[in-house]
Amino acid sequence: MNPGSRLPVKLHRRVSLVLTEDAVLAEELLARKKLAGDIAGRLTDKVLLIRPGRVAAVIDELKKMSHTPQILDRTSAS
Amino acid sequence: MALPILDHEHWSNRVENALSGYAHELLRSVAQRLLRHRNHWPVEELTERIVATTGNAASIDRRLKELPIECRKVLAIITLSRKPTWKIGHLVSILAALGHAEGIAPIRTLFDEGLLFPDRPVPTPKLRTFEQWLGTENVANLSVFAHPAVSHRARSQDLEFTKLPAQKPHKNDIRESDGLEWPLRLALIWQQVNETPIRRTTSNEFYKRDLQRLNDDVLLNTPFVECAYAAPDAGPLSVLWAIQIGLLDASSSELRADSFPDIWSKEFTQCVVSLWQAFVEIAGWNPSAGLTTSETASSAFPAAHWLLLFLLASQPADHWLRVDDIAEWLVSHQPYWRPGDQAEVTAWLNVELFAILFQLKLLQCAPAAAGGWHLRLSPIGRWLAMGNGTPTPQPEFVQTLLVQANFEILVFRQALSPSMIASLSKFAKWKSFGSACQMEMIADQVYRGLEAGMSHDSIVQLLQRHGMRTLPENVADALRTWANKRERLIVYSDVTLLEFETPSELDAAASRGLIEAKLTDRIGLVRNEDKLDYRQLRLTGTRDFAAKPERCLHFLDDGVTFQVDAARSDLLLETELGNVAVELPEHDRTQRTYQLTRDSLRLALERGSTLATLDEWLTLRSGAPLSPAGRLLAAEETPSAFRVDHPIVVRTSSVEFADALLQLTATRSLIRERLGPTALAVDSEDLNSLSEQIELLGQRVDRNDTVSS
Repeated sequence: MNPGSRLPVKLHRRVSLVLTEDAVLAEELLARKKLAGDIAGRLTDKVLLIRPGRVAAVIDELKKMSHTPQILDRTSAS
Repeated sequence: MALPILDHEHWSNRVENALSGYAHELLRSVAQRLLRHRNHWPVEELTERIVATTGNAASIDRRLKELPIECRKVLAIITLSRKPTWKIGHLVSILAALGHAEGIAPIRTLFDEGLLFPDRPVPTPKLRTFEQWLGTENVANLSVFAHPAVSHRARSQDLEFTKLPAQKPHKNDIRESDGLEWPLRLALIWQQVNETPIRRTTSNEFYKRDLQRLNDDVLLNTPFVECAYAAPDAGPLSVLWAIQIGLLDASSSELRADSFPDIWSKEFTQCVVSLWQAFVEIAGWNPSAGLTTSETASSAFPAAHWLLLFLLASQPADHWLRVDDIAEWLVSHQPYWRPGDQAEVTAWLNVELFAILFQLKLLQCAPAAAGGWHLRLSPIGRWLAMGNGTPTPQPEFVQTLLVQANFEILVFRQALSPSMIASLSKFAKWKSFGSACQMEMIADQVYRGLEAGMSHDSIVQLLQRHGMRTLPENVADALRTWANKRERLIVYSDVTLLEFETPSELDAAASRGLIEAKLTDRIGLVRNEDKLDYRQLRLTGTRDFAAKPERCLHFLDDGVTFQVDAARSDLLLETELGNVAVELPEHDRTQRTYQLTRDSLRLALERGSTLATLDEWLTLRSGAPLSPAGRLLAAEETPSAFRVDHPIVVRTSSVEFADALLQLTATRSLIRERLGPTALAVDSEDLNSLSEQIELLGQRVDRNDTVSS
């Protein structure tokens, strides 16, 4: 690949996801019935896609589970 | 430190916008008075020249000299307040107190001279006369503005206040606060709202329960360390003040904690200016009645706050004053009060002077012989009110915190600053206010600090830099544990994923710094798409994650191998494919290819899928349900699903002949099944009978050698 070449890419916009430290934590989240309902799919063993419009519900549920997620969005990008 | 001139370009644009709302005749008239020109310039040029003249000090000075004194006083009030926009009612009220009872005439003159402008966000309809605008609604509520470069030229105009009698303090015990009482309370209310949002009614009033909570809060209502005059409804005042200064977001009925505005990290004096300017704009609270409805508060007090400050600033710097003398002057000069109101005015003055001005470090007090206090403006107060003199810089102490093993922090006030209050408030809870304040670090508050943009390192650095002792080990460990716990889960909201065709392309993008994180071997993440360098990318497609899934799988003839249409595929497909199929990496380098295998399909069924859900998914994604081949791969092992035998095949020379044999009664019962258009299966024991029947029809049956009769 030419180092200066333009890379073909497809953009997926308005995606919300949870990135876990390990697969076990992702399993733990999926085992939570209320949370599983808001998860659209598992992209990898550590990445869970959140259904559109359900981010706030997922964050609330994570907090109820005593997790302290970092919440990052486009406005927090440096 | 002289008064800074506010953003020149911004206010020039405001002037230009205001002039665009003038009809041509009015614009020409204003230009004529300001520019004194003899040429007939086009309208656009007139606007340009008026705006340019705002920066011409000599021209402005000439025009100011020609104006009546009350007009110059209007501009002086505007510049000394550092507030270019004022309500007409407030300006007229201050002018009246200064002995100019001409009403709005000075304002009208300044309009005509092009030195003051109507504050109209939308400059339509075009104004033919200023009366047209002044007559539209309650004139006192209309706002006007002056370009800071213009009003600045009137800064030395004497407002001509009376000199009040000078007092001699009982003893030379001059008190000046550290100015931190209100910043501490505002930080506290920020913490409280961050924890439990406060709601307000549609008319911006507090709900009874929230009001009760604010009024009962012991910490919010803690007496001030110095000169402990209490402010009525200090809790609700803190909320309103925090809104005004931008600490709380009041854009919806539920107040929410915003981030600390930049002003908190600036010099103490700048922070005090902002706090004072925010305070005078508070509607819904006044020093006399405390919390009140916005309508009744907005009329008199902003003007009274400024009038008081200018009155104090007009007195000689070393003169001590009595509260009663100030009250008497206000009652006799400010049109809002009548002669019998002196007691009421003294009451609000005590609050305004000692609970607000003194606590903002704008005032100094000294004990009076008859009890109570004499007062005068502090250096910062004089600088704020007059813009001259240089406030003494705050002494700099670094070590001011004592972090204890029980997670409490003792904060000594000597080196505390608004900046440190803001930083500490993010990760530690205020427990008490006093000459030394107490804070406590708990997990929830530390998480809030981390959410507010602090990091483990920045918290530890702050505690170490300002700590009087080494950070206790258990505290350092707990901070590390809390920070680590937070690292375990990241929720990305509304971000953009970049899907590359090959892992090597993702690697190349990562090495060029185009992505923030790798999620899979082909997908990377960026939080803000606007910051993507598109010069390094070629867009092959875009998908909105919330859009409906599309058909994007194309099956090959074998019914189990399929290719992904990259232009129409979506992110969910990535999560679905791995559940039912395996990728064939070497099949077609230009197009991703997958295959349904017995293992992949059986695994999908074991994980909870059914043939019906597979059919549904494949119909959605490819337009057809699972193929027979796929169905066979997915089928459970069934006994006698397949049978081996030796049927005899009779082939006919045409389809019609085969149809005829299946139709005729004599032959129909001798045929086991039709295998194809011209192939019929016959049991060996029926072969002879069938041959006889065919021959009876006048046809002949040829047998190959392997078929015996």
